[in-house]
Amino acid sequence: MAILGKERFEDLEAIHEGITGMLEIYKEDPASRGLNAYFKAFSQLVENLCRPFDDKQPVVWYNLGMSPELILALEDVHNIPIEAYPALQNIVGDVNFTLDYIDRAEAHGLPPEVCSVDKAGVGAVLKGIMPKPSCILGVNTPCDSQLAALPSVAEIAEAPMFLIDIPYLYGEREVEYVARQIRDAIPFLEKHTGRKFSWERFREICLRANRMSENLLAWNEFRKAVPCPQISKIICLMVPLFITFAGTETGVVTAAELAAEARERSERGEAAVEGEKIRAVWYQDPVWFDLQFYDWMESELKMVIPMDLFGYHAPEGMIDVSSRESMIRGLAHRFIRVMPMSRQFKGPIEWYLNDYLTLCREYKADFGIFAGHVACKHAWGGLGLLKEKSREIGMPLLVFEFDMFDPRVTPVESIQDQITQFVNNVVLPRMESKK
Amino acid sequence: MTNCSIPSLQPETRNPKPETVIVAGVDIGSTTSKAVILQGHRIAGTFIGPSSTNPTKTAEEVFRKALEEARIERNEVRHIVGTGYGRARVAFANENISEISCHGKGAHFLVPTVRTVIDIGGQDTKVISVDAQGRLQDFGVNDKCAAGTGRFLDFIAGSLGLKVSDLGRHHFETGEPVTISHMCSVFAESEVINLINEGAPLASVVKGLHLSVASRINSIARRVGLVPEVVITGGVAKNPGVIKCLEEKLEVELKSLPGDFDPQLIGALGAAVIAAEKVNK
Amino acid sequence: MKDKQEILEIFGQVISGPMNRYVSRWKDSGNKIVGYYCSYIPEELFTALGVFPYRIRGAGSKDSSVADAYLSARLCTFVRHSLALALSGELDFLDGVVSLNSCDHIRRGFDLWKIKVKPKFSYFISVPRVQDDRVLFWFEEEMEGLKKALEDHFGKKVTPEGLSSAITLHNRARILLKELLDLRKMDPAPLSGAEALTVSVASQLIPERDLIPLLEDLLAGLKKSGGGQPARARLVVAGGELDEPQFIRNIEEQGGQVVADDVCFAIRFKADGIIFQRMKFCDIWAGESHNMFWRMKKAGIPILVLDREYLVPASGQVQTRVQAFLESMGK
Repeated sequence: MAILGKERFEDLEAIHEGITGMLEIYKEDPASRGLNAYFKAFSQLVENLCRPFDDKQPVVWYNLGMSPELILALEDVHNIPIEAYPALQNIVGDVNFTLDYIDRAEAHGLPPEVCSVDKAGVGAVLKGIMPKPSCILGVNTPCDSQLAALPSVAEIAEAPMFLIDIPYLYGEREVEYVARQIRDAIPFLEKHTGRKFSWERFREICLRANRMSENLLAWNEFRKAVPCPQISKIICLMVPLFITFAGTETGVVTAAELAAEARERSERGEAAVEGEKIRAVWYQDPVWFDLQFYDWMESELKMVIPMDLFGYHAPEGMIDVSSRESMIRGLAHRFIRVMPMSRQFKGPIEWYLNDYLTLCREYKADFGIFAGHVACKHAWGGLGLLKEKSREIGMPLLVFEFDMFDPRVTPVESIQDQITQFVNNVVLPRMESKK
Repeated sequence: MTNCSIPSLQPETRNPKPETVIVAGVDIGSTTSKAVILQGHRIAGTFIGPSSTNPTKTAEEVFRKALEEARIERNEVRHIVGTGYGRARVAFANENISEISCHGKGAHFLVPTVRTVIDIGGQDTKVISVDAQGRLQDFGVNDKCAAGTGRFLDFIAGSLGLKVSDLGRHHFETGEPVTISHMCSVFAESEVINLINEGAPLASVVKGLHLSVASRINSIARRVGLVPEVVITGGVAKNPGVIKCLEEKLEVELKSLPGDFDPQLIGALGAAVIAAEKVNK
Repeated sequence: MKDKQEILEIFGQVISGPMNRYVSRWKDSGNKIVGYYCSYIPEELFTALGVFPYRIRGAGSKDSSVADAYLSARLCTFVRHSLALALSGELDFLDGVVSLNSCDHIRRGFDLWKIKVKPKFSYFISVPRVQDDRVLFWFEEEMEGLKKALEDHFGKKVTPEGLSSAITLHNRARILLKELLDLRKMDPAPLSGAEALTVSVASQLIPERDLIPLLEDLLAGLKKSGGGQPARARLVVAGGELDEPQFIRNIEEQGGQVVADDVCFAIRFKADGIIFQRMKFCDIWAGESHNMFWRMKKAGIPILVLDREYLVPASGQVQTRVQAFLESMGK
């Protein structure tokens, strides 16, 4: 792997070490097929972060509200999600780097209430560790924080930016609106990268995107089994995978591995948690700053998360590849209705509530968890109605406040305390009385 | 950190032509109130007293006491500037100026080469940028509760059963710094107690605390921009541990005020200097 | 003819809470009134149907807890207070509400309008959150949608003549308002920033037929009386939703005169510096505040960024910062 320059070395080294270490631990472990697939994908992302320094090919940055299919259709162009560095640092690297990115962004004038994910992205850009972009492509979802971060990033990186507006509702007219903007983005990308958009290539990408989605849908299905065949934390890593690799072979393979693991374990009657007692739908951001939290939860509470907001793959994402027009529209469907968070949050509250009800029902949840990432205003603003809905269907709801990237807001011990108390005082007695 | 001598207290070396104009600065703070009488470049009298619920009366009193010390009659004072939280209530002042400007001006009077002042007070932390004449150019104030202020350290020291003045000493005992993850003093308190209970050396915890304060201040300082020389003031300036952490974070050398000057007087002094400038204009 | 003091007093009363004498008179004569959020809503469409478009605010709310129970304390205080008014029935005089997709907070607020407040009519506009001509067509389509929904609900048609005379009426008020606000180009300005904001906020809460004579009187009076006190510094206040003259008054008490409410006007109004204000928790203006800060720093234009909460007067610390800001400009 090519690593140039001290600054990059430091930041990347932490990630690189983390991934190599994880692969070392898990590669021989037949029970870790899914995790291994993730780690391989993430090491691919690390290479993506380095390669532009060596091959000098144009780079397009994009934000976490979208997947990269369109950018991939330009030949010899690198696609890099703005939040790649902090996400990798949190998941496999060193959280202290993420905290440094966050502090840099705040010191540069981004108010503290902006999402830490976006602040960390801005901080990484300020630190100058990302390969410089020819241009930026973004969508203005899932939340307002994107609208704080994207213009700041464009200004700091001095790069031209094309923003796609995602409307409130989801219907024919809305799909056409987004499709029209995606079409408009193609000449923009061509102009600033100096590369041609290939429709033939785009078709291949869409086919791969579909194969990845088929695998993800199958995977979601296998996880419905009781007991849940596969560990909890694996589900919350779907978002970075989708954002980075939708439309690539890595995406197809990784999703296939995740599904295969779930299927095999389920066929063999294996459970993620020996003596599974409790199932919960995690309906908000995951604890990325400490993934061992999920191991603790499984062993201490005999509790599993069969599905969460980040792992749920919506069925509306299959792209019709029969024409150029249909492929663009397929991508529009994805941007509006498949990207996690965008799907639930940018429309009327019913979208948020309905997915929750579906997940609780289909994954046979004993209770729900509103893991309140402090900056998710669109989620916090719907909390009262979510509580009412929970009471209506008799589903206990645990609410706590934390920051998925920044352990300084709520340390993992405090999250553990809150879950333990809720499980012992509310969930278990309730399950007991139902028997 | 280096100490400065007090050029200002030696008027003959600073300004060969002694001036005799008499002015005053009165700083009505939330806990203490201060007055400084300036005669030419000489500090002729000072007074520090507790604030009260009646700022107008307090102002009157500290001013009178400072005049007594200076053996100067009230009608000899040509111009008076009020500053501090109660600045608008100094009834006899000719005008009022914000404590931010006065603080910068006071620091500049004592250390004429200063361009940046970092003031870590009990209530808030300010970073003040001044020009060659000590005039306010830009500033930043912490707006995040107690994080990065003296209050944070007072609070934590208290819960460790230490005097805040001991923190500096413990910093230089052996031990690698721990990471204090919390910025909120309430959470940081329990975190610190946990660390100690788990057997972390006191020195490590104290270093961790100092690093956490330094990184909050760094955040404010970066936005204002740091031009040397940088002078540090406020109660926390007496803590060599915080100074060391800050110097590393900011990558600059920090200077302190002349040792024989009571740093509490800096705002009142700045107010008096501004008053003198008004008269001499 | 009413004089300046009299008119400003009336406007001051109008903006102090949800209900005002003109709205109640309008309702008493059997007319309809629809509340809306934000500046992107075309008032003319309502007027063309004989409906009064009323700008929804939070003034008059004493406590937002009834809204906080739904929206949490992580949403901006403007939205929370406006919903508190709605949920406690203080906006029941509205015959409907039109909201839009301007931010996450307002969008969540609209959920509550629909589900809990349940006005007889509600409509939501998906305003493009991208500043680009290429998406203007979408905004036009959304306007068409609003027009149709209003027509269906109120059982009337927006005729070309009706729309045209509504536009003429609103233009008349806007021209008067612009003339009034433009008086602040004069140095010294005859209208303080707090007074100017009072006028522009009130103008969104008074039906045009009552508003226009008031604006005419005020303008004529001010033209005759001329300038006010010379200001220590001329400031522009920029940033997010601001309908509280008290905030401007706190700034002006330090001696600065707020001569315009938007940065685009900074040059035209010969301003000395910019105060950028933003409601806490607002992300939309967070990015703007970051970029504005550095642009102004580069351009050498003094800028002070202030966070604030709705219905909370400036603290001593904020006043000190404003004063220090003026001092840093050498004022």
